[in-house]
Parts: sequence; C-alpha cells; structure tokens
Amino acid sequence: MMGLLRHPWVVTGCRVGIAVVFIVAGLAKIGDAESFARQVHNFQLIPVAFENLVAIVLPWIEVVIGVTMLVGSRRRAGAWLSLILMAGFTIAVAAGVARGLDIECGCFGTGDGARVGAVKLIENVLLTLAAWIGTTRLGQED
Amino acid sequence: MPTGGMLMLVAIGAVLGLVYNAVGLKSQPVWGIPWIGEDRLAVFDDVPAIDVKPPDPTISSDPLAGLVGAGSLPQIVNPGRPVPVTVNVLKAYVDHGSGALIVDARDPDEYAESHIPGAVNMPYEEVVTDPERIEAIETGGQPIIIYCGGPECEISRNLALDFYYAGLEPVAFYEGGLPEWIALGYPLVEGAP
Repeated sequence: MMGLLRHPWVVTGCRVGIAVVFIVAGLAKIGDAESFARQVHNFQLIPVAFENLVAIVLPWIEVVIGVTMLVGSRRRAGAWLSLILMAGFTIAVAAGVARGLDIECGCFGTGDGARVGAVKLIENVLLTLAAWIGTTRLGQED
Repeated sequence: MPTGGMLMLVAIGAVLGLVYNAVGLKSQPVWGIPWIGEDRLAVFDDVPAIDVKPPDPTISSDPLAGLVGAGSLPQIVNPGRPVPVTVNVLKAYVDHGSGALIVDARDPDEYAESHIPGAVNMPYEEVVTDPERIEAIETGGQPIIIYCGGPECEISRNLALDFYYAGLEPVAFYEGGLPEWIALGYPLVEGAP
C-alpha cells in the first residue's frame, strides 16, 4: 500500500490534481472578494479586522501555489505550502462541524454553494492526503 | 521543508492580491474591498435589533384585536443595511397573518420538517448560485424577514445582505431563528415547499 502511494505516477497525479484544485478554487474566489470575506467571517476563526486581508490575499496565494506546482519551478515549496494550506482548511472545516456551524464553505467561492459538513470534511481530509503524497519524491531542487 | 521558497511564494501571492484589490478599489464600479474588515462588521453588529412588546394575551383575546393589530404592526425601518429583529417582531407579523415576506433560508428538507407559519422556503445554498431567484421576488413594498437555524447559523444574515444588494428593502433577519421560536412554544407548520 505504502509502495503504491509512493509510485511516481500516483505522486505526480496527486500533485497535478492538487495544483488544479488550488488554481480553480483560487480563481473562483478572486472574482468576488466581498463574498469570500463574508464566508471567512462565518467561520469565526480569525479576528474580524484580518478577514478582508485574508480574503484579498489567500486566493492569489492559492493560484501561485497551483501554478508553481504545475510549471516545476519552486515545485517543492508549492507542494509543501499546498499541504500546509490543505491542513489549515481541514482544521477550519472540522472546527465548523464541531461547533455546529451551518455555513457556506466558500472553498470554491460562491460558485458551488457547498455547506460545511461531514461530506466537506471527508473531501478535505482526502485532499490533504493527496497534498501530502504530492510532497514526496521531490528532490532537494529549490 | 523549503522555508525560503515557501515564504517567497506566499509573498508573491500576497502582493498580487493586494495590487489586484487596490486596482479594484480605484475602478468604477468598485470591486475591491477595504483592507480592514470593519464595514461588514458594522452591517451586522452595530445595529440594535428592532423590538416590540411581546403580544399581550389580554388584548389578543379581545374580539377587536385583529382590527387593533392591523394598525400596530411593528415598523421595520430601513437603516441602509439589513437590520436584526427580535422574536416579538416576527411573532407580531405571523399573528397578523402576514404584512411581510417571511423567508426560511434553510434546506428544503429542514423546511418540510417544520417552519414558521407563512414562511416561504428560499434555501441560501440554491439562491447563492442562482441570483435570478432573488430578482424574481415581488414584495409589493412589504418588509422581508429572514430566519434560519438560530444564532449559530449565518445564512439568514448572508441572504439578507444578498437581498439588500439586489435592491430589496427593508430587509430584516431574525437571529434567534427556529430554535428560539420552538423554545417559546410558538406555532409551527410542516410541509414541502
């Protein structure tokens, strides 16, 4: 099993998949910072004063990470950042579920309207796993 | 972990985001947002909830109560943003038989299980992906009161803001939501949308 997870094709597949998810999710949010800021607010995890900054900056960071993971330059840094962000998103969703929040995920902007819940949590755990696999088998290049 | 590279990527993303937003702030129409999130805070937290005295049972047993009540529906003013209302305000409208568009923002299956009498179901999840549903609303100038699953549930506020941005007014949200309504023993109805 661990051997399969370390297979070059699996690792590359995970990395490309995560890269595409990050680019799509980032672009979806860039179009409507106002809505995304409200969704960030709904998670009630960060101080209100910082919510807009997160909404302004985070989608672009996601896109930059996705692009670097695809083009190959700074791939290792991108892969590790994607793992850290995915872990963070998963914790946010888990906190929302644990506190019984009935809120929009905002993961893909307002485009999908998905709500925070068990399904979203499982989805995030799987993506985090994929991001982790994506960090493996990268040499020490940049 | 390649810390240096990671910091660089974050910095690049942050700069791109800030520049993009700065362009949005200068554009017409403005699509950037302020760096510090105070405006949205004001929308929800600085407005005192509109309240009225709870219904007096001695008056409502009066056969003329309906006539008296007709003139005394609580006014939902429009302070230039969605406004919170207490359970007493919503109860007054429900008792009156309407006078407002009452909107249940929860999922259809939750709505079917039980909802406040007279409420129509407009699931936030569906409305947010289909703005035409808001554009199709005809209130005839009546106020809109939105509720969902209580204080922990934010979709009534979000829907209120979406209504407001779509030009509908006055828009109110009832924060206590269904849990408070049920706890007070107020009437409920069931049935699919």
